[in-house]
Amino acid sequence: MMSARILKALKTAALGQASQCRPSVEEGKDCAYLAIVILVAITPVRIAHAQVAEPAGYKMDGFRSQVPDGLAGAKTVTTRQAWQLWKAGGIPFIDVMPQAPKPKNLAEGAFWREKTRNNIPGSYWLANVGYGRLHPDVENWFKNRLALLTSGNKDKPVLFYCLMDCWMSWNAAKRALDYGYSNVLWYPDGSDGWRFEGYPLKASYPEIYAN
Amino acid sequence: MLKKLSGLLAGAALLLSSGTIADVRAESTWSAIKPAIFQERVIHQSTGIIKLDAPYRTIDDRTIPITVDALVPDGRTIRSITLLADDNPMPVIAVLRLANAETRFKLGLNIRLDGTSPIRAVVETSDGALYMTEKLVKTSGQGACASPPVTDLDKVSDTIGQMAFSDVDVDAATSGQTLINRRGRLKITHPNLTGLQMNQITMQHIPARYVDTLTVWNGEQQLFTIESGITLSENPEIEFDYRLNGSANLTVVATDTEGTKFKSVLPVGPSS
Repeated sequence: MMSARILKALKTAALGQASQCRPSVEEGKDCAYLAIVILVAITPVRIAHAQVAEPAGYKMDGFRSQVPDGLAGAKTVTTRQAWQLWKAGGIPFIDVMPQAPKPKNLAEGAFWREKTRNNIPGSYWLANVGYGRLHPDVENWFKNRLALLTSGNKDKPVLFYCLMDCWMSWNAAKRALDYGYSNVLWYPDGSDGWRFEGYPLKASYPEIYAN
Repeated sequence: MLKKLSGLLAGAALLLSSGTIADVRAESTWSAIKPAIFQERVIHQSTGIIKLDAPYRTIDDRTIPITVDALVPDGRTIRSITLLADDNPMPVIAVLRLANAETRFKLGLNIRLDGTSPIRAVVETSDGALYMTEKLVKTSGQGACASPPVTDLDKVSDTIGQMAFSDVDVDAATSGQTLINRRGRLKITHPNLTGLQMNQITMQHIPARYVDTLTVWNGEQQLFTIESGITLSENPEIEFDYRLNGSANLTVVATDTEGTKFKSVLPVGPSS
């Protein structure tokens, strides 16, 4: 009996006819079930959209946590928009996933395996430029790489990403703004959002500045 | 509403399938690293020879207890045990070489993992055959290879290389039995720096410095040597079997990648 009512409520909701659920004595329970069903269904979405304030400076720690909806001065792009930009081509996609360089002083003959990551094909993976602070040498390298990728024109668009709920891309995009780039795109859902939509990914090796 | 529901269902499907994706990737990692470590040698899947214990999901990725229990029941003995973590940048955790002809050996280590990875134990028997067993260990996402050391690096020289040894089998010790077969735990104070850790002040990577060889003697009798890499945790702990042979002390000699040699003479026996 109960499950039949829930099914009916679900069906009503699925058909987009929630407004037909009237608070009569007989159907009051259905409305309550429907409310619960809707609440359960949208709760994760609501959590994902809870507001996180933009910090004044760079994010210094806790990089794997929820990010703000945007970055002041930059354009935030969705997976759909990123996909269209990628298909159209011409905008450098910069992956800023961190990865340490191979240590110099390992034991002789030690077997080392450089890690790959599945990122958006054609990306420039500039590792370690999304930390809260950069070593001056890493910062110079990042500036030089950006200049090369934009042919020295700071009005050319550049897109930054890493993973979903990762501040590294936010920091890197903010850095580009601070360097004077005027057309900065931030793709917060990154390779996770890309994968979620079934878009192609490719195993890649990073560019790592080792000082 | 319908769109949100379908998005949710797709999300659930992705979550459910992610385990399979990780497994496929892990398999490809192993096929890539196997030739570098074991060349073209045949590795048999071990059914009864090796028992590998590791948590299904870690609590702290920086120090994960793993134990391998190798038993060769058919007259052959154990020559070496290699422990591997496929998806760590330095996949060989440790290679243990036994100095004596043992048919059974149990080795425990605490390790760190950069991310979810299969852990493998490969046992080489006295006839040169290789047997392997593996277990997937899921991490809690701390990226332990790069996580800052707990040791105060300005004070490393005060304590580096200090060792402690005690018997693990508390029941045997407290029951007052004089057991010949013992199981001991060796603790070494060493930051075991991976080279992947960032100095938070200078924003440069801290140079690697880790214990790379370890030899243990029971009196005059050598028990084993271990070659190890950065996967051993900071302040490594090693559990191993030994047998009372009348000696009062174990001698341990370790070296690290700086070339520093650490030697300790540690008492064995019921009171240790």
